[in-house]
Amino acid sequence: MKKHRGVLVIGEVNGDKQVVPSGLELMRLGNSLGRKLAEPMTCLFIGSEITKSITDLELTFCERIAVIDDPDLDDYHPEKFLNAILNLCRSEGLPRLILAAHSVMGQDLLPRLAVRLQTRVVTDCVDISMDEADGLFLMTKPVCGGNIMTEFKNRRFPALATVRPGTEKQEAGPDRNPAEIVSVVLEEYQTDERVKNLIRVSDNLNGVPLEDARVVIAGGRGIGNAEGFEQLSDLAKVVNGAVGSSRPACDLGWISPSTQIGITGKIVAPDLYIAVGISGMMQHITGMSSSRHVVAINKDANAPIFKYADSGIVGEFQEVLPALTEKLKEL
Amino acid sequence: MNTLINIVVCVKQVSDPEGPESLYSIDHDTKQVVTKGLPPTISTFDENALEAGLRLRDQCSGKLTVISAGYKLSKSLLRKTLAAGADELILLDSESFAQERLDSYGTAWILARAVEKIENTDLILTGRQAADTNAGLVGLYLAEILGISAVSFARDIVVNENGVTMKQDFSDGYGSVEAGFPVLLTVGAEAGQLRNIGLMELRKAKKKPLVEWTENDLPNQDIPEQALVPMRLYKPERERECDFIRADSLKDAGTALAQKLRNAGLV
Repeated sequence: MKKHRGVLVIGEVNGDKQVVPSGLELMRLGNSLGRKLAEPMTCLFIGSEITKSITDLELTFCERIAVIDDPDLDDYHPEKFLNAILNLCRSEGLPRLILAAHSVMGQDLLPRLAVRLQTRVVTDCVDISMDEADGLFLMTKPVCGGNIMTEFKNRRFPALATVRPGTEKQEAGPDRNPAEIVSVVLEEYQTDERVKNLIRVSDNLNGVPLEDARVVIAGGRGIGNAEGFEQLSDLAKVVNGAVGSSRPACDLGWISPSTQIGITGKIVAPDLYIAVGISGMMQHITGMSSSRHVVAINKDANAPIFKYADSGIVGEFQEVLPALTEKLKEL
Repeated sequence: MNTLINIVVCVKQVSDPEGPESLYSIDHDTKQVVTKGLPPTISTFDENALEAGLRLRDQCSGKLTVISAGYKLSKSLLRKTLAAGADELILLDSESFAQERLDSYGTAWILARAVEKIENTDLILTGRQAADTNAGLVGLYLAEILGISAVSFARDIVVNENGVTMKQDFSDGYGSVEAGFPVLLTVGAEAGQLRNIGLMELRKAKKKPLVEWTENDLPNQDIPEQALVPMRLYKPERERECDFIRADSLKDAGTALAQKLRNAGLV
């Protein structure tokens, strides 16, 4: 077995066969880590009929993209995707570092991969570096709902991490040629098909997906009921934003769990985050603390959310939001 | 439904995760989080896992065993699982199982040995992420160590003759998935809130079997060493200076906010 070398980034495509934005960001991070290690970086995409959309992107911040394109790999399936990655590692050698986004796929795939490769994974990573003294990777993640950050050292190789969006702060490197795209054909392999995907249903979301929105308006327990979220939707439409929520609003059934922002939900980093009727529990804050500008609207002046906000209004949201929406329509 | 299934639910004792931020502090010598004054609770998603398990057990008869690993576990807390309806509680309690000594893989390894000792398990349920580590690893690690199938983010679980069907949530929708026994499922809040527990159930719980195991009761005592080691802990700085918008009325405040955001180029 060859010595561990290089960085492998596992990209992701959505139902429309487009590379998801967090994947692009992850590629930049993988690229900068590869440069620091002076080792090659490969980005891997797995799916069906995805080669064209990846080639069309003409990605320049990545030298090499491996594409495993097979009709059998249309939907995410843990065993099939695991086998594809292990196949690649067998033929090209094991990398030193494997990264995936902290998405449902990343959270599902990497722990399994860690056991197969007899190593460990750190999930929801916000920082990755290497200890110069021993060459082992250091990875930092939030714990205790985000109240504390822990930096872990992985004593094994390859080191694995799922990375949260907004982690790669540096800009793209110098212009280079578009990445070399390599089609990888898998050898025959046995897949355990005890788990079967039956159907896949897409959310019928109007407007911008939450993780990509530049403006997010989120509601919490203070919204009071499902109808209360209509005022947030009205505002979202005017600013081309997305509606999010904190866990209590989801648990109470007022809004879909797919809108939940927090350490157990989605992590967002928009330009503008408006928290409406959200108390400010750390589990929620940790999901939006990288937002550029935070506005809090809450009738309780002592709500912790105001500690994490740049602008605040103390009062009933029903009296604030309509006026805010109206004025923005005007301006 | 006549299918008899054996269910194991893995449950973790944690310090109440919803305490005020000031109650979480750091012991820099042991590299552990210290929570003074926070009561022990069952990790939130593990309660959902228990509820999911109870619903399935009620649908199709069979046995539901709860297992929990740690050191100096609270029997009174974990007996709640018996009061909720579990048939047996097995506490894996030993200094060797203390959280400081293990990484998530070590924890999963210990649970795997316990499941092997229990035998004939069809379905294992775990919360998808512990409320203290927020790691989201033990469930999937456990399935891999046992060499069984696993589905994460599962909800709306239905048992059939040979397995389960369920929905699996993704960020942009959901999938319908079928899995044969034996299988491990990780769940979140969508799997259902834990049922209310009355005084009568609490009393009945005292008569249900509570078993305690240490490493000496496990078929294998070679607990894997920590490979993921905490090096440094710190409190993140997230606080900002809040500019409170004051106006004659909330309506005016809303209008003023609109202007402020537009001027700042944020909308």
